[in-house]
Amino acid sequence: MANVNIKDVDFKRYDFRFDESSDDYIREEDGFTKEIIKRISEEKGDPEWVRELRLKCLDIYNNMDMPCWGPSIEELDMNRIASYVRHKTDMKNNWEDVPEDIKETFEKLGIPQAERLSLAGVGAQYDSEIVYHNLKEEVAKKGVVYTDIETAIKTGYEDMVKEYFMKLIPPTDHKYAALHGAVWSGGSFVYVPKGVKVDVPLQSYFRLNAAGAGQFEHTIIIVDEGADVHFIEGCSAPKYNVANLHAGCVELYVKKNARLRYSTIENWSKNMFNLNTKRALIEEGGKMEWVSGSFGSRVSYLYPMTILKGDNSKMTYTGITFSGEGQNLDTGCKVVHVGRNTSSVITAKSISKSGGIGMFRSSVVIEKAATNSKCSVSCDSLMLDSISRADTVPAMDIKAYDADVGHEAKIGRISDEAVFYLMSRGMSEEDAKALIVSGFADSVSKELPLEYAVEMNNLIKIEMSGHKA
Amino acid sequence: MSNNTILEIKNLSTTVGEEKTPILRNVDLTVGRGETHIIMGPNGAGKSTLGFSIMGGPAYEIESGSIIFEGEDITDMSPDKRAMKGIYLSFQNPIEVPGITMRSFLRSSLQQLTGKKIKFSEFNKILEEAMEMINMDPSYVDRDVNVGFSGGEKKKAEILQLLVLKPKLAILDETDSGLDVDAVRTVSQGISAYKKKYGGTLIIITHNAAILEALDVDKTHVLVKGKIAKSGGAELIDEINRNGFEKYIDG
Amino acid sequence: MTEKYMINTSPVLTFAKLGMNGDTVRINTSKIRKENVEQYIFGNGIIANNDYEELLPVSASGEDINKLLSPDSRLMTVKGDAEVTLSFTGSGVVQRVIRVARGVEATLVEVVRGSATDAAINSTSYILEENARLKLIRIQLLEKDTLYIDDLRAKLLADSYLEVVRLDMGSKMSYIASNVSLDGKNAEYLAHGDYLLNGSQRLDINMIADHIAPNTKSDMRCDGVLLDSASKIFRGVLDFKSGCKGAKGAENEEVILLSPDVDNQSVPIILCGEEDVEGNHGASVGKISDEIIYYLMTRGFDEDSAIRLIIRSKFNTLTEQLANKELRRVINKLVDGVLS
Repeated sequence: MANVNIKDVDFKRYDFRFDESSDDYIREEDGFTKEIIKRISEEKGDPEWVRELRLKCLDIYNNMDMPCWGPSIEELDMNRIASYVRHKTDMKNNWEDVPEDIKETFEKLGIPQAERLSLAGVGAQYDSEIVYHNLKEEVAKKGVVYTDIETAIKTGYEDMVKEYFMKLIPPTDHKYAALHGAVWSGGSFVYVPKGVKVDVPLQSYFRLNAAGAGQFEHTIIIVDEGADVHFIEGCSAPKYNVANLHAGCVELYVKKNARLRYSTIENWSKNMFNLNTKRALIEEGGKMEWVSGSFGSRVSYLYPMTILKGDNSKMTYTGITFSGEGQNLDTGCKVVHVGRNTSSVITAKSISKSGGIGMFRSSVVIEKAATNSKCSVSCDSLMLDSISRADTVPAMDIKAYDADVGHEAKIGRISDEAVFYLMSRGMSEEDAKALIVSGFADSVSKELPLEYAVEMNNLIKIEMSGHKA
Repeated sequence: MSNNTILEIKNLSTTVGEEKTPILRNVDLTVGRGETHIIMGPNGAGKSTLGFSIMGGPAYEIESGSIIFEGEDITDMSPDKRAMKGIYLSFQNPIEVPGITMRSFLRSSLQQLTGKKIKFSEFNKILEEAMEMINMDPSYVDRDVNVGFSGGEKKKAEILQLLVLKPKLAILDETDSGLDVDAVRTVSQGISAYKKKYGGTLIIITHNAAILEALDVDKTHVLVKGKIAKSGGAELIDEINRNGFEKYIDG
Repeated sequence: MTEKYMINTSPVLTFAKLGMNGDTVRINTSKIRKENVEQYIFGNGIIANNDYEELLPVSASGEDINKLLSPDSRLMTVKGDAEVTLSFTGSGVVQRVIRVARGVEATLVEVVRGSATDAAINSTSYILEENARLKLIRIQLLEKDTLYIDDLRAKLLADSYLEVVRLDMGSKMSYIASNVSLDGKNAEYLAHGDYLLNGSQRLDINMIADHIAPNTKSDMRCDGVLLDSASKIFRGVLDFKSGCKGAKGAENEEVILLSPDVDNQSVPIILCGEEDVEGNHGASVGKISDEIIYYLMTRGFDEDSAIRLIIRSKFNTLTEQLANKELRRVINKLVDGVLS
């Protein structure tokens, strides 16, 4: 067989940067101390309860152990991470008013263009703060709220933020959730009122431009009874030689008979430590759909979790992870069935190459009360060479005796038979392999909105060069 | 109902799944003792559903109507009780049961149905007799139930069970599908033996006329979109083989 | 001296909060005595040799449990079919190395019985030389007051074949660990474990198939039935080491839950550092499928007897492999007793 080379994900598209040394930027000193947290709180004009929560979280962070089970993050020196960086501009709702270098950044990423074409609302975060936010008038008229958390607190939603903020992900959940609670900044606040269906997606884009800094955005989405919304999250950063940290939190509340689709395309640069936490609570008859593409970062810990609290609630997770050179991506999904007749379907794909390490880690818990519940997990990994790794660690704890749980995992390479079959139909070996790899990723890309599917296919740019051995 | 009626289906409507997709719609069917009825119809018409409904299949919900067997309403009866009454369903896709041989499975099944203990020697005689009728390789009965059987072998094994259990009414669901010519002949021999020797009553769901050659057909029903579109005698089979189901679908 | 020992720790950890990464066990070591365990050998197929001082394969029970073992093991050589009974009259340790010489083909039946409230420890390493074939049937029928620790290790040289068939029905708490190292090319390992647990019995399994050499094959199956408030955890690891080209591995589980108070945990792990391999895992947990029960009901069985029939037949496939009719009868009676 010819030597076929499937290239790494091409990050060049995201690898451009602007100098932040100018007086236009405010940058907190490195590290995470009480003094720093107090200054951030001051700078942001927090209400008292937020300030107190920040300090309490810092305390919890300092007293908590590192997780014992995941990939090593020893290279991440917390004393060399700036917790807060922002441009001295306020949030705008018109791209023309956004500072030139930042506007150019988002234009290169295609955000204003996408907003014009296919989005109901857009938020754009640059380092620690949201620099642009806009919601289409007809969507706003339906009562949909889409802003950042800080603005939500200041514009009449403080009680709501207080009710939901860090309630699903308590600071004691793990060390980096506690850190997040201390230094969080920016993110999204979405409220979709009862019965309102938002036909086109909302999108938030997170860009970390500063070197040696952290991004700690917080997202709260509340989809009220019978409502329906699709939220897209994108993220990227230029590559630096120093470690960057991303420790966001996403808390999703799906009320009775509501539906939320949450899509993420993550293209962090390979110096990023991505320790993100996402969690959803689903009430009776509600539906949560996760679509997740993980391509970037040096190390990722990412396991969106769903609590199927209400009877007849449902969850689907569709994810793909591409681990290339120097990457250790530990991704997967967690689900807890609590309500009766609940169902979950988990479909995960992973591709490893050039020494990349891909780990699929999942947990399925079916509580005793969750009678007549169903869960199916399927996990496929593709190894493209023998210097990479593809590991699978799924855990299941079934306490309901009438549960129906099925689990399948496969690890393998591109099958010679499949290549032969396609070649016998007249295809070249290179094309056959390319077709098989993109077919492997297809079940995820078809879940994405069209422009993201195109972006994903660009990301997995499969370039073949055949040299007969 | 005449004394000679064994099965009467009245106004039967069934649905499937959470969405309650309707399958059968107001089906009426009366079968006399010793008769042979043929159910024909295009794919998805509800033929198998009809068979499963008579046997109490769990996947289908009976929305209205009733099923009367020998004068008794069996609509809500569990499948094992129906089997004890003398109804038998030959599955289109027989289930594999690893760990138990066909021989011991059939013996305990026969004991369940008759409520009597049957000696090994007595049972082996019954089994051998049945195997002979369909030229079945004796080695099959010492293999686990349907495990590793080919499609044709599974169908043959269903007919073997029919001949051992000797029910009053047998519903054969596509017993001929996926069989080669010789196998169809064997299966058809078994069916006519069941009818002639034991006076059995038959409801045969089929696409194929070959299996019917050795049988005297009393009635033929064309099932389309969950309804009996036409009933007639044996002549209807030829008519459908020539012209297909089209005119019933459009009608 | 009662001390805490870590046991059956998984080589790769899952989320710590699930509490599924391993267990700790309290053992009063002063109660463990050599004379509390007796080994009876039937037939001429197995010979006891001298002490064995070579390096043993690694234990899946864990390093802590290793502290309870002595540095020397007793070597036994398999020449042909044999049956061995390990009988515990109190807490004790059995420590053996069983060698199957080049080209030898044998079936070895091991029955573990008796009672040991502190710990019945069975640490046995199997060394299969080139072209050796061993079918090991291990039946565990310990009394229900017993803590059982089973530490099976195996090293498979080129072209050898190890089949492990096991039934775990006895003891209060069983820790079943096995680490099978497929060291030689074309070595093949087949494991089929069955368990039937009732009352408050608990079974903790930690099974590893380590693919080192090319074209090695493994197939681990673990099937069982949980009744009453019984619980079970299965940790299985298929480890494809870089260089095991052409290796194939599978792990499968089928668990039938028959009571609302059972707890069933599984962590089926696949580790892969080699491109040219095939690894599969499948699990099905829950009730017996409605289709099978329906099929049996159409043949006249009521629901309960259909369930009993299915479970009985599962254990039949195992007991039919036993030449010893008396043992077969004992197991069938035990199975019937649990199901009635």
